[in-house]
Amino acid sequence: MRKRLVFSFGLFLVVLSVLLSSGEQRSVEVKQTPMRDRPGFLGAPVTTLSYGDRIDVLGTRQDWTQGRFTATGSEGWVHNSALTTKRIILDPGTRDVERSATDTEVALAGRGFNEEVEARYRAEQGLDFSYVDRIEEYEVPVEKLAAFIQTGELNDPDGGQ
Amino acid sequence: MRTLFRIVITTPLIAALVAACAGLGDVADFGADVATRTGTITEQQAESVRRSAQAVERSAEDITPEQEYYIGRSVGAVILDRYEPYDDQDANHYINTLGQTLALFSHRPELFGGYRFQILDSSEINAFATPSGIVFVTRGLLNLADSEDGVAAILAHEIGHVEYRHGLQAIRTSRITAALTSVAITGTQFATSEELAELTTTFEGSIDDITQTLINSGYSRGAEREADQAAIRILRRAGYDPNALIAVLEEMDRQLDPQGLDFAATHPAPSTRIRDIRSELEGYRHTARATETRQERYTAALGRL
Repeated sequence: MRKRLVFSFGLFLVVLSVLLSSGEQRSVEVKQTPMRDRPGFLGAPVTTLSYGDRIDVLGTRQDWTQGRFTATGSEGWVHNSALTTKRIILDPGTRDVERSATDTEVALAGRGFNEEVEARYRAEQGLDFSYVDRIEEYEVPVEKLAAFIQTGELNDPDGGQ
Repeated sequence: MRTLFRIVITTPLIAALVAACAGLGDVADFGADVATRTGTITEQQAESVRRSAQAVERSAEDITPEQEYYIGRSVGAVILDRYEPYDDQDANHYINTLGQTLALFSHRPELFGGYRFQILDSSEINAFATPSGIVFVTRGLLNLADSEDGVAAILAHEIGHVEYRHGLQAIRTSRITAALTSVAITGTQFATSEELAELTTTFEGSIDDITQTLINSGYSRGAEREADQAAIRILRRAGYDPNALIAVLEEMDRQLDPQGLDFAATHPAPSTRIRDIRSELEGYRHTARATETRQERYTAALGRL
């Protein structure tokens, strides 16, 4: 009986340490996203993560991932739509490029359709992008969205989280 | 006790072994790289590997949010080349607040550059959602609504197109394969101007595919149904009345010129969409809330359109 108990405990320890050492990670695949203190859009930002940043997964709840930002040690929650399981390589070298040809778990930042291609396309087509740049500045801060939700008696976007 | 001691000692060893195995792929990669650099495999063989990689067909799902962002910016520039933006700060701020609120209730609230909304100064009944999340909506379409819930219904349908990445699906697969594999075979970014020129041609073709679909041919009926279903889901989750989508479509049915080059040419008939939405909403009862506050802010922002 005692032997079996010791064996089960040992097995539990093995599984636990394998889980901890295998360290699941996620990469940020949007320009910037806040890491929040709780799993919800109205949670307070702990830090801001940028494109390509890696986090160690600590847990998940519905559409949110709890993680630790490896570079600073900050911990918090990030919405799943800002994350990918792929490793994003910000400054890819030849080896990364060759690897990306066959490894779908690798994404190269700044490759393919990028700023340089857009600049050439813009010049060739004679298109004006100044209004597009202006539209991109229309970001409404989340506190204003929260006030809009409250006065309009809309539902809590974090409801049930 | 000895057994317990043995377990405590061996556990970290097993864990370390598993972790080492997980890194074997990296070692193999490194080996292959060294093999190429040291001449173990010839440049010809390396080229063959690259070509076989190139042969793998890529689809819209393989386009990264970063590339989707650049595609969307250019689609936006093409639309603004054909339509004048409606330059009213209050009106645009209102639809951005409303639209960005709705996006929080979608399946895809975070995009590379975020959701942005812009009114177009046209009496045509039309809207365009770029793959990157810039949503254009004409004065003509907004005027079909007479409430905040109605405007929310219009914007939620467009968010649905972004959520399902319908815009990217309009790009010919051959172009996606060409774009994504030429990225892979290029050792340094645009080593030659020919490479940049080639990729720009593919980019131009992709933008044409999308704008042609958005402006002229329209999405499939299935895609429009998906966007309507997304709109209903988003409206319900947010607390807006999904029946407002039916009210907007009924008004559209009254005003749309069947021969027109706007929604009449690019969308299924409003009556067909209403029928599908009604069956989707069967049994749903909406509890109206804060209609006065919503009506006041709607009139203040869009009353002059």
